[in-house]
Amino acid sequence: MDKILRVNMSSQSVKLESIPAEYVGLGGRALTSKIVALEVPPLCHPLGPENKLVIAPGLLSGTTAPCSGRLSVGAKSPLTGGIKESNAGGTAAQKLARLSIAAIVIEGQAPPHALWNLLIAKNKAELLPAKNLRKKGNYKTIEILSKEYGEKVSYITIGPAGECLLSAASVAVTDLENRPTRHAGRGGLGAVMGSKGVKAIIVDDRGAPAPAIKNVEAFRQAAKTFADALRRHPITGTGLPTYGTNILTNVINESGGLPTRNFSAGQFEDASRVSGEFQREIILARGGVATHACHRGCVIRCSRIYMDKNKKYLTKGPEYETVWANGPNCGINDLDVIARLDRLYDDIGLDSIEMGAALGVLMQSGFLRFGDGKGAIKLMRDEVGKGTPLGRTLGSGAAVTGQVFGVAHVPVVKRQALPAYDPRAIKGIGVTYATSPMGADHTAGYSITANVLGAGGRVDPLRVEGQVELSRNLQIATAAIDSTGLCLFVAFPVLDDPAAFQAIYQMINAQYGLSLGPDNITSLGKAVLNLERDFNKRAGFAPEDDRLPMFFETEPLPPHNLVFNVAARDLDSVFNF
Amino acid sequence: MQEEQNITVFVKLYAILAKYAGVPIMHQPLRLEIPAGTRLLQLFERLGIPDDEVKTAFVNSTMQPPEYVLREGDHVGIFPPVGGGATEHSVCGII
Repeated sequence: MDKILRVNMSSQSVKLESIPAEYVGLGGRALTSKIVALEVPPLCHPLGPENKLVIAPGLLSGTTAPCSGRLSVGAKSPLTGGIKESNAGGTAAQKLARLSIAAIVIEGQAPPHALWNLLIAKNKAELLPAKNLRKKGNYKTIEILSKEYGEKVSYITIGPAGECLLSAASVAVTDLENRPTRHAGRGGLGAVMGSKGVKAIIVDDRGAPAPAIKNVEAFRQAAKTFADALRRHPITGTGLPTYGTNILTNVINESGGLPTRNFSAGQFEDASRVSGEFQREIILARGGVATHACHRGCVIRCSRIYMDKNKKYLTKGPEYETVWANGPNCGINDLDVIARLDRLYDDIGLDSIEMGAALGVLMQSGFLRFGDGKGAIKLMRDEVGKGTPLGRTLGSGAAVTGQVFGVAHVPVVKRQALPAYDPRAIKGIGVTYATSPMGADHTAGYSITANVLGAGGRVDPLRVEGQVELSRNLQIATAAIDSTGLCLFVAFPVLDDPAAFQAIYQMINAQYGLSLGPDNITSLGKAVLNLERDFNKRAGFAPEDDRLPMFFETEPLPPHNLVFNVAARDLDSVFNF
Repeated sequence: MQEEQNITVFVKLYAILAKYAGVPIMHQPLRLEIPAGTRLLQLFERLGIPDDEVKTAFVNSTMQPPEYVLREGDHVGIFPPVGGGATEHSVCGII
């Protein structure tokens, strides 16, 4: 991966250049954040020509490293106004790596109403008019493009939400079945892609070789050790393959930290009706697929395929975060309703967490009743999908929805909605939500590991002690993992099994002929976080932005009846490393 | 002779453990009469769940060790090993 593909949308020119020295040796989030930090003016408007959309595979992408199919997408976020890296599974990262592309950098701005596709193939990259795809959903877009380019390529696309420049718009990536089900959802990066005038990126790696490996035998050994560790661990070897990410609904509900009806309670009376166990029953009864990989070489296989009541394909198995946001958070107890919303989000191109949170806020306002699944579907299909003023409001996320509908109880940090864990009952995740440069984000430092799942030790979720250190260490480790192209779920064995952690840097060493050790991985994670925090500081962020909304400190959450009480000075010490 | 007191507890078994309640999935908890002084460990035994199949038990939404003595009205949620592994190792060990 020694090339940067620069796509200038102002001049519609495409240039493949050698990677500049300052970007050598970086991948994934480390690379997207570095390019954004060095090349994007922090005070620019996220939808203006000065912002850049950066798409990067990870250091291990395209190799036989297990679970190495993640794609990082970065820019200044229209939702938070800060730096953003959002990543997705699917097939694109591996193909970009085979084409030796370390990053696609989309800069400038096409004239208003122009729409382009970017075609990338071996020895070729060009912009082609995409007028026939205007306002088409992701599914229709893939159907039309597949007629021309086939089903063996990857498609990175935006739906109508991205074209409408909505702050909750996602960037979709196709899966192994050539469906647009894997999304870089958070932070409105689909709107940045839309603002550039790019509808689809077609990644055709036919004829391209696999990335070169300096030490093939050492790589093979380390990859095998890594795969064994993933298969051995109860979460990645049993829990996730059997039940998918939605295994968490019952666990988090039992812990009293499942945010219910816009974060007003920590337990949902119908949790079992939307649980991973029940989802598995439905999938199997209707002839769906209960254990499925979103990219080649995944040994966890936490994805699934969900059929409707007539046993016809509807969507991927809705992930835990989607189930929570559009289920318990909205008082909705019907997996079929949630699956229908999931399909709409994938098609319109929306972040399912942000949208579920926006619906919860809307329900709090009384505009829609808690539990009204039909109403939620109608709003998404007829308002957001069509870009009406009401749809644009919702599609701009929970903060805007709260402002327009006059709701004070709005669960956001840096204007990004909180995900599926209440910080009053699981305090480590509250530290991550408050302090991550990304805005509220569970993946940035997933304290649920030690707070609830007992992976990487145990830290009592209800007490303040140990949470800052836990979040700090996980944020550092995550920034590093997000740079490798590995799926974050590898963190479970990595936290519990020293051999798994070792295998990661051994694979990188074998591929690139390096001699990195654990300290280098830690340094990489710290460097990425420092870079991101520096960008945010230059964009106007201050320590006061590293806080949860005040209601978390003043409203006790049943059943534990606790508030979030990690002190401000402790939050401000998270990045003292 | 003091008569042995019984207490009532409510139990939910999750994921693969539901089979010990004779169902594929539990939407409602089991209501059980058990002797006062019963520990979680003894409750697992009574339900026929082998030790190595239990990973985590919540009592009234708080994680409790196997030695926990059950009380009248307790709500218990029992999970198989879908959680983490080695407890002696910690994230701080890799950073």
